Parts: sequence; C-alpha cells; structure tokens
Amino acid sequence: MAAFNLTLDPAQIEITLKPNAVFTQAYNVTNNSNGTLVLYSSVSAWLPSDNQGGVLYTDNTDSPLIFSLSNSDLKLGENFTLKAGQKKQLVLKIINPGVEEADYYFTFFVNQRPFTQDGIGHQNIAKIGSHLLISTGQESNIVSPLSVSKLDITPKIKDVFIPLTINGEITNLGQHYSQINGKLSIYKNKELYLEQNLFPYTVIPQHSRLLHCLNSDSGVTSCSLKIPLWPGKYQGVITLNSNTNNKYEYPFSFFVFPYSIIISILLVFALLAFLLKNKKK
Amino acid sequence: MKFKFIFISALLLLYLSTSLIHAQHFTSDSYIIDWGNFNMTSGHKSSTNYHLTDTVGQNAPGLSEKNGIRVKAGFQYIYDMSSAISFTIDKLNIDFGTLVPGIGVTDTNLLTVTTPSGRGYQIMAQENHPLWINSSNFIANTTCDANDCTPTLSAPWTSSDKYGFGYNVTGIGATAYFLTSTHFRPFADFSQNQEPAIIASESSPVKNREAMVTYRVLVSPLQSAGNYENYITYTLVPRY
Repeated sequence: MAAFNLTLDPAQIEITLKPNAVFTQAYNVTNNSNGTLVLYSSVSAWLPSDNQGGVLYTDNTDSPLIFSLSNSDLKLGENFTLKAGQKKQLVLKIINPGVEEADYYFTFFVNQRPFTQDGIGHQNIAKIGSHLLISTGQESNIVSPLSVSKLDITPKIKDVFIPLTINGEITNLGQHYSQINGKLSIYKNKELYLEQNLFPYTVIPQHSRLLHCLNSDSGVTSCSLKIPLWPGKYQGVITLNSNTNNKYEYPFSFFVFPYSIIISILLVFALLAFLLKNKKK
Repeated sequence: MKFKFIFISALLLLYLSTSLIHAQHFTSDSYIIDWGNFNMTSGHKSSTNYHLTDTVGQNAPGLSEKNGIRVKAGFQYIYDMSSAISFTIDKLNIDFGTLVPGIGVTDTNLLTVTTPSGRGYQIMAQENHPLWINSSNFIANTTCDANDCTPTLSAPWTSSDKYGFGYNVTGIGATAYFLTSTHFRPFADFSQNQEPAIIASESSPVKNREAMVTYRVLVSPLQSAGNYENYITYTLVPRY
C-alpha cells in the first residue's frame, strides 16, 4: 500500500457571494494510505495559465475575502492527524466583506507535514487541492458573454473518407467566470445532420477554453463528424447561452468532395490508358 | 372451482414474490435524512451495442437550481457524480545509498492520480533546496549534458562527467515535459524563489493514471563526504 494516498472531495466549487455574504463548504478528506498522515489546510490564489484549465499560483493575495475553518477544533494552518482509512470533514468558511464586483480564484489545499519533528528532513511530501471560483457582487445569477474564436475547420473542402474534427476556442468576454452552455449543430441540405452539446467547461474572464463536446457518458470528446461523409455543402452553427439574453451564434460552412474516389478512378483510367497505349505499340 | 384455485394461487404467488421496499436513507455524523420517494424501476441496462440508464417514477426528475443550491433528482445522476480527486505516492523516502564519483545513481517514485469527471489534472514539483549538508556544501542541480536544461525545460543527461541532481518523469501526462527517459530537469528550487514546475498534466479526466519519477544523482570525485538531504513537494490540483 502507498505511503501517501489522499482523497479530497469535492475537487472544485463555483460560487457567487453577495456583499457581506458568508458561505461554508464541507470538504471530505480521506486517508487511504497504510499509515497516519499529519496534515494541515491552506488557501492559495491562482491565475489561469492556458486554454486547457491549467493554473499558475501567485503570491498576490490582494483579495478582500476572509477564509477560515468552521471546525471547532481546527484552524487553517493547524496540524491534524488522519489515521489509516480515516475520513475527516473540513468546513471552509468564506466571508465577503466588500461590495466590489470581481472574480477571485483560489485553491483549498490539504498539505502533508513531514514525519520528522523539525520538518527539515529528507522525506518527500505531498499536497492536494480543490479549486474555488468565486464571483462577488450584487448579482446572484451572472452570465458572461461567451464567443467562439480560432475556429479551425481547414481545409474548407474535405474528403469523404477523412474524419472531420472541429477545433476552436470559447472566449469569455465578460467580467465573471462562466460555464459553457451550448451546442454544435451541423446541417446538410437544410436538415439537421448532427447535434452535439459542448462540454461545459468553466471559462475565466478574458481567457479561453478549447472547444470540446460532451459524449454519451457525460465525458469530454472532440467535436467531430464520423466518416464517410456525403459529398456536398454543410452548414454549421455553434450556439452559446441559448437560454439567456447573451445568446450567441457562430455560423460556419464547409464542403465535402470525394477527392479520394475521383483520384482512384483517375489513376485506374491512367493505368488503363497507359496499358492500351503500350499494347498498340 | 378451477378459476378460484387459479385466482388464489396467483394471489399467493404475488405475495411470496414481494420484497421489502426501502426509500432513500442518508446519514452523516450530524444528520439523518429519510427520503420518502422511491421509484418503480431504475438502473443500468446494457447489451452488446448499447447501454441505458433509466429511472421510472422519480418525483420531479432533473436538475433544480436556486441560489447556488443544486438538486439532481433521478438515478442517471449517479453516473456523473465523481467529484473527488485522489493522489497517491508509493514511497516518501528516497535513499541513494553511498554514492560513487562518476557513477550515476537512480531511484524512482510512482505517482498515481484519479480526477473527477470532466476534469484533468496538473502535478507540480519543487525541492526545498538542493541536496545539501548545509548551504555551502551541496550537490548542484543538474544542467544536463549541454547546459541547456532548466526547472521548466528538460534536456538529455547521460554523460558521466556532468555532475548534479535531477529527475525525469515518464507516463502519458509527462510526455509534453520529458521527450524521452533520458531527458532530465533540475527541480524548481524553493530556496531560490523558483515556482513549482509542472511535471505532468492532462486535460481529460483520468483514473489511476501513473507517472514514474526517476531521480538521478551523479557526483564528482571532489564532492565532500557526508549526508546530503532535501525533500520534494508534489502538488496535485485539478484543471478548473
């Protein structure tokens, strides 16, 4: 059994805090390892680092939010022990004393302490985190405008036997983080050919997430059309925030041409012509 | 008479085939919730080509949301309920034993990650300081064969005369950071105010995804004798 094996649940929460609001969130920490672990909790701020949900930790703690633990026997930064197989609930309390309308991004960490008393030994240590995405302001239901960017369906003319994947990004142009709520629709001859829901990634303001679709198991999959595709013109539209005032549509089109079939036929004809020419000689 | 016999037999059969019905029962250290609703049938059915999850008779099925509170009613929600993140390290003590100058010594750590549905992960690593007896007596972090590796950029390190301490990571999530098993990097050094460096990441959810960390140390004949120590902090967070 492993020396360190810890589970933290949930892995992310997304909340909106009105001025002077107090929010509590319970986290379950489970020690699945074969020995006792000495742990403590902390909160760190982060910034988005890429378009795939990566984060970059920052020393900037310029936030009015006040974090503490509601557990009667524990504070942030204080040690607690978890025996093998033991589970503990940590209740994080967040107070928003300000009236500012803004977004804040933090990670609630459960950190391991070294076994050595002085804490300077040679033992490796681990920490595991759960993200907090917090919007503050008067509004309780904020929907930021999202838009499609860098949509890539090149080349515009496709072959019938080459799978088509639609790549792109969803950009948040608003002031608050927002979850992607949208779908991809493809039409042929004005009839619906394919419809897929977009994966509901969270998009941070002034940042983007890669475009992905939702599969039948509620998982992530690329937005793609299966082969063979019938030749002809296809039209598509990506619809975002369709149930809100910020509804957005991004139309696009492409052609499917039977390149491979035509090239094969031309090759066969060329071969036949070559053979006939040789025979006549 | 015959009809009566069939009727009573059918009633008896129905009675014997019944079983006790349990509604939902949730407990924690502080609360017990007895949920009054039960449905007619629900679950996960499958054939060679299809699988179906269903709930029949669920009261008010679907997602209800108000003021940040969400209620997901209907057994289909069981299948997207994975919300926890898990991190496993196989051992916490790495002991290189007695080092021989000019001969590289390696040891490994196996990191295992499980992420919640819909989320990838990133693992970061940072050393508290170089391997040292004290701050003036240390084994330098590797700069690799061509002096071109950094805490965020790996490079080949195979020479027996390029001394130092470094690491390589293999596994699906590490291929973007370490091209081959001979590509190494020095750890980001906390004592030099270097930020933890990403050593493995993926944008899709994973279950029991493994990453193998190989530590390598190579010392010169001039290296002072003694116990050189440091520790590495591994940080796992989900992709938001």
